[in-house]
Amino acid sequence: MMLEVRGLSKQFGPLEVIRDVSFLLEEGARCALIGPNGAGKTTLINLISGRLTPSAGEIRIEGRNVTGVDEAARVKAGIGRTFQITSLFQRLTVEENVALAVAEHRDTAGRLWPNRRMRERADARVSEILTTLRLEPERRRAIEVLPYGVQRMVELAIALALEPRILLLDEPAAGVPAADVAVIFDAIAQLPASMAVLLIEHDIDIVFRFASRVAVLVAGQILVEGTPAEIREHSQVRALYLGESSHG
Amino acid sequence: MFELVDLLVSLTFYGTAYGMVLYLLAVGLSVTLGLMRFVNLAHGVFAMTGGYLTVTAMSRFGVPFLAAVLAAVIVVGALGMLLERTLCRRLYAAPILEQVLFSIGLIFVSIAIARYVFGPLAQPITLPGWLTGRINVGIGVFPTYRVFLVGIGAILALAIWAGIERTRFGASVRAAVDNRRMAESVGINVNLVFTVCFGLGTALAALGGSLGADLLPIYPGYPNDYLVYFLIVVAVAGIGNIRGALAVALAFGIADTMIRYFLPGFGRVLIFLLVMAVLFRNPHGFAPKIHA
Amino acid sequence: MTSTRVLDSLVIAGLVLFPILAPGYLDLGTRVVILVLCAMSLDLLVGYCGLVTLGHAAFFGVGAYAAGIFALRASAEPVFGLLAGGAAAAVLGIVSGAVLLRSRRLTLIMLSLATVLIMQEMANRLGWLTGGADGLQGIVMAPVAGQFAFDLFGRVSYVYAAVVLALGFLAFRSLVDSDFGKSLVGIRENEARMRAIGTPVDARLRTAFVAAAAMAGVAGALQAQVAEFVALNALSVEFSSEILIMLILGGAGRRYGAFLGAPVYVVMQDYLAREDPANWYLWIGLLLLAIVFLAPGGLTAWVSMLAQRVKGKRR
Repeated sequence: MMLEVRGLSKQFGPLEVIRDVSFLLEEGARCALIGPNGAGKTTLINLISGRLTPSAGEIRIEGRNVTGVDEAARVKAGIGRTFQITSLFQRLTVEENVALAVAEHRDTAGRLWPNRRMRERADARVSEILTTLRLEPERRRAIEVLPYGVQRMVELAIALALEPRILLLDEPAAGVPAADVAVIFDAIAQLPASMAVLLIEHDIDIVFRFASRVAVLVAGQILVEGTPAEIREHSQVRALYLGESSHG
Repeated sequence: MFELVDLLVSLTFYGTAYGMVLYLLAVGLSVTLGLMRFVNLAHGVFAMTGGYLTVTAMSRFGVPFLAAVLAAVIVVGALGMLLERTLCRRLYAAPILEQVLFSIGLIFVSIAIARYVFGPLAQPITLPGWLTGRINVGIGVFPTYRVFLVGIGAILALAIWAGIERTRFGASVRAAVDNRRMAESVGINVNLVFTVCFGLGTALAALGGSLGADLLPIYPGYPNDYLVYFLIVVAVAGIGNIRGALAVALAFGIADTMIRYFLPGFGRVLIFLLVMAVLFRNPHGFAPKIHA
Repeated sequence: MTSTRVLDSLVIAGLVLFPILAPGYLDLGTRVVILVLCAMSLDLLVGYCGLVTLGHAAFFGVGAYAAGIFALRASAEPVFGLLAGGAAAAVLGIVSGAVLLRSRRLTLIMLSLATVLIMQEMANRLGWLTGGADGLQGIVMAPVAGQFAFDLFGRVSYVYAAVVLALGFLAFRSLVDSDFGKSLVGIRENEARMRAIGTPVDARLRTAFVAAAAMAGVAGALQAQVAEFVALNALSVEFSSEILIMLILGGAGRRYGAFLGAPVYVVMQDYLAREDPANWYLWIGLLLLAIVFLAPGGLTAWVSMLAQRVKGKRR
């Protein structure tokens, strides 16, 4: 089992944002997490990735208890994530952004003196990732001058550079123009089969194309979990999304 | 035995008076930092200016003490608001390095002006008759001036608390500290809040500088020499934590006074090490309103 | 950029050519070289890590005193003295870094101030070791590598200091060009994101902090050896501010900031000290305000902007 979350809760003062959430992600999982705004989806990702510490509950990666482990160490344990609100290195170029992640993953950033062969292999890997996401033409441009859609792709590129065993995608294509959405989901479709992927997404069509399993998070709790077809037929979910779709 | 108790009571009292001055000096800085995230190391400049204005009003124009202090506070508060609107505001989004350099530049310019106008020596301040002498406050007989400091400090702390917790303006400040965008969308004029807060902060600094002139002498080196003390109060309490600032300022004043009395050979080393130990355990201070 | 190789060589060439072009100014040159080394070490923290500190004089001063005391009580061999200075400063870097680096921004600045003040107070009070307020005197250095005795004209001093600076620069640029150095820039630009890609941020910053401290300590040691004296104000907040100003004048985080800023500052200071000493603070204060509002990148930014304009015109 890649990722096990058991009885996870998070309180901010008197407000319980995540309440007793449990689920599993097996190797190769393609799971979508849906739910209304404010349900706590991003908070859940923050708890799994280590950005927030839970008030209660347990998180295990491949059997190992990582609940007390900090964010950076969890990345080394195999977790990668993207951010809903783009969090890149604005003044650096696309290739520099991705190179940072590659360097961390390959552990070359801990070294004080550069090694030419490792540098060449890292550069090749950066080019590989950029090509996958069709970012090659933009590689030398600074993030701050790039359109939002391209920035979202760099978000994904950084996560891919970490070669995570568990990938948490927080609305990777939100606010992205249609053409770029296709590129992003092509890249997601080509992810290694062994990678466990949890995708937060609002667009139901994308969810049904991508996911083999869907979990619905409402008010900090998992309302229901099942195959996309089961979820589509579920009465409460329908009520939720009939209401949702009128907002668009 | 009684002598020791008397001594401790006495030191505590003197420490409290000193702490009150530090509180007045630091509280404005804590608010501007918590509110605007603006690192203003030149905060001492306003205290020094207040002190100089008070002393000048008294010695040159014969204005009585309290009136001079009031005048100084108003002038410095106005200057602070002017500075905020013209220069500081442009730096809120700037990297911290720029803000620090601005502060250093401001300190240097004000030191130069102070030295030119007033000379390098400390300004002597002649306290009014009613503040000289000693007074019995039940637990002991202390200089009236120190009792006055403790009293004024307590009143102001209460006034600040009331202002923050009980007025609409205070509510706007708290809202803007918690979430600026939300506050704006609710109709709070955040820019105005910033300007007024900055003005209030500088006015309080001027008050601390003027009232505390006998404890912390007014001279051109003021903004440099005492900077570390109000930074300590702000950092240990937690940025934006006003209630905590009072407690920390008093604790620091008392601790510093005791250490100076019992272990003078170490100078400031011990108190600084103590501060470092406290911050080692709580890097963000005791109860920051905003996470650094 | 390959042009950095050219510029780096120009820097070394400058160091080599200076005594040939300005043989009467060797003392000034030595002084500037030492300040460049110190400012460069601060650049690592301020420019590359994004950590603003007003405590760098602590490392310089501790290095100076350590080297001076070493020369007086252990060995007057200069190179060992440099190592002593660097090591002492590194130790301070490890100890103070453990406290300082748990905070950022204002708290970090305050703790850095406290560090300098503590060291200054200790140097002041341990007079039997440091000479107290009078400074550490009576240092007599042995010839460098047993061969080159420090001469009255300052020739050996300059070459000695310049060689150390050159080596320091090579170390600095290795570090800055490495993946480690790039990760420091990443931490500066978006610390939260670095954690999210697995960077052990605290460990990285601590390493950089100690490296910067050691380099500043070596600069301090050089100063002690070349002047054969250590003044108490080597451990002052004022000196910390001066180093910061030199760096900013040149431009932080831009590789050559120290090399541009220190000489300009020293020349300005010498000129103003002669012409208008009373108003030094006023001019420097106004200069800082001008830099903040008009030229935040310092001289290096200004020069590279000019270079871009020239390039633009050529096309």
